[in-house]
Amino acid sequence: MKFGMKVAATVLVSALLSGTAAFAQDPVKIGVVLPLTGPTAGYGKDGKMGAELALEEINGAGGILGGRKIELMYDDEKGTPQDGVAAVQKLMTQGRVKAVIAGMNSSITLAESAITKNKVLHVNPGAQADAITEQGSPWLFQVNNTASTNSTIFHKYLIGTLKPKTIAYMGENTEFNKAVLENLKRSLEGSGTKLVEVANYDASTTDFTSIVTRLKAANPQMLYVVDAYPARTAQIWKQIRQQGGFPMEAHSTGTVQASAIVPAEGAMEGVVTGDIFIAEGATGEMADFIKKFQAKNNVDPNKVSLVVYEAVKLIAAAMDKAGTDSNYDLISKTIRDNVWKTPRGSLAFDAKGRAKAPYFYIQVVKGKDVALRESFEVK
Amino acid sequence: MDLLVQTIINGLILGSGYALVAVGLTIIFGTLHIVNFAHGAFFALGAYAVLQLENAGIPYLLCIPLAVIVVAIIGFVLELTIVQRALYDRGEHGSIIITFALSQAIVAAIVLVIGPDPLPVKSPFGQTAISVFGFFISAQRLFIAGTSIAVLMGFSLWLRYSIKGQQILAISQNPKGALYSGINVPRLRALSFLLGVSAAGLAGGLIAPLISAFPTMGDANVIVAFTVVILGGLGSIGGALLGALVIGLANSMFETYVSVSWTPALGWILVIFVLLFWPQGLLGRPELNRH
Repeated sequence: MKFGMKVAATVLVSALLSGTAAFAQDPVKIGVVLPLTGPTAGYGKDGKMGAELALEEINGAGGILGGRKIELMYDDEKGTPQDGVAAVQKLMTQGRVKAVIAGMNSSITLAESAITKNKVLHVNPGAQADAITEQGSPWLFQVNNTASTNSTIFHKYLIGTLKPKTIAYMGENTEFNKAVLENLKRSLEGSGTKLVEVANYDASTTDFTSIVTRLKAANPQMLYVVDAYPARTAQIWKQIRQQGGFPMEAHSTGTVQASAIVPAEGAMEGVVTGDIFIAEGATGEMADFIKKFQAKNNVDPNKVSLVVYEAVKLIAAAMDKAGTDSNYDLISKTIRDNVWKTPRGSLAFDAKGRAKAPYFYIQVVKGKDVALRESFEVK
Repeated sequence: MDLLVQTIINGLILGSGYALVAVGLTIIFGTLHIVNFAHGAFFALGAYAVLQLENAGIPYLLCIPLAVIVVAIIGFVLELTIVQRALYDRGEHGSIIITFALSQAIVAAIVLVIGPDPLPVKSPFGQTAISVFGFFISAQRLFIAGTSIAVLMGFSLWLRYSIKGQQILAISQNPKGALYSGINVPRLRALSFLLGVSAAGLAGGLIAPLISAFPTMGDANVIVAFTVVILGGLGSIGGALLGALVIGLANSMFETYVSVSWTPALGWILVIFVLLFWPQGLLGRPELNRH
């Protein structure tokens, strides 16, 4: 009996002493904020499939930090900055997540990054506006290219290779659009191409007939549309097609997915765009990723699935390598100091936390997807 | 000159489409004094009903009336279970919260059942555009404009000349008085609600081929519809048409000649301006608010 008491006491004391060790086997919670409803809910669906695949792979390989599993906690940003902020706050305070993945829409991500700044590790998978990583948040990282990196290559192609004499521009009044338009104006300097019309419309616009009429009146050789909302993108191109279209047509980089092409019902055929991902002709790691994704979800991955997958993998790998889930200075330093293997190739992050995709693909809409026109190595 | 004519055509065609979205809102407000924030959700239901019926192999033009019936049935159930119990004679604040909640619930249900992605709705008019003297009109838009004017005229005539229509007008002016005169107030209120949401469903089914079906498709359209009915006068069908044409024309003129960025504010600026000088809206009837 006495012996039994002793054992019990020892067990109790050692349990108390090793409290931290017991906690160490708790899962590492990562918050994933996506637009699960609202006009960009398609991105949320695609992103979630990418996150789940990464989760399965990480936990299947035994987890991180000596056997701790990863747990993903989702919340819905509903496509608005205020809902995005609320979702991030909820995950940080109630969910007690160790890292936040948030960033599909630039204006929303900008609002969210104000909440995560100096508080928690934040990885922005998809949003492109330069302003997000411009603010000098030490624990904020971006997996996708910035709008200016993508646009610089894309605009060089539009102006230098396609050589239109005149361009008309239309885009939704957002942070992303602002970055692209500024870049376009810079790219046009000293070229023989003129920007003849700019139409920045509001998110509540439901009909584009008059805008297209106005742009047609300027008789440009190329129409350039900048919009990241799939439903609206489809709608705009349908209405452009009804009015006979333009000799050359382009759509902003990183925003043309099947969720826009399919409902456009052929109206986007031939539209030139560009992205950091293309399924066509994938080899090596990328082919593996596509195969695993298809096996799990029965659909092809797209750019959104890929970047969210990469964001989860990056956080897990960096925490594991740094040996901590909450020393964000160390984790951030680890992210900056290392090169990370992804399906796209090697990703390195600069001082501002921006990754540069190894490749950029000029694409053209063909059937229900995009086809590769030309690929560039990003320098 | 060509640009001006094309702009005016764009505006009028667009405006008649707005009228169709707005008419249901104005009927429900005029009769029930409910500001129906779920209007956009019924709009989306109409579009999804057309989509599902099309997927079952039914031609688009037949899908439209069937979809209206589907929306009417959903509207009937919701009226019976929620609207009737919670809203009538309870003031407008309750109606805002409950119809808003209803709208969120319907949108969430669509996301759950069908999914969030925008889906194409096929119409025989497709992407075709008609060219009249060199001016372009989208065939689908023209179809919407025609239907819209027919529906608005039908509603107007029915309200004015049929017994049920007159009873509805009586209820809108004085529900108690109507009840004491032997009018079946609950049944006619239900009928007005059904007509209102069916009109939203019809608008959704007609506009879906232009904008695709997605769960929150009603949001932006209903914002415009609200400006239209406030401008035209809440509760007035003629007002809804006039308001819609004014806003359609103003939007397209402004977009073509002034600034695209400022266009969304234009409708509301017009609303403020009109309300300052005609507090009931352009064709609103002051007696509607007499209880």
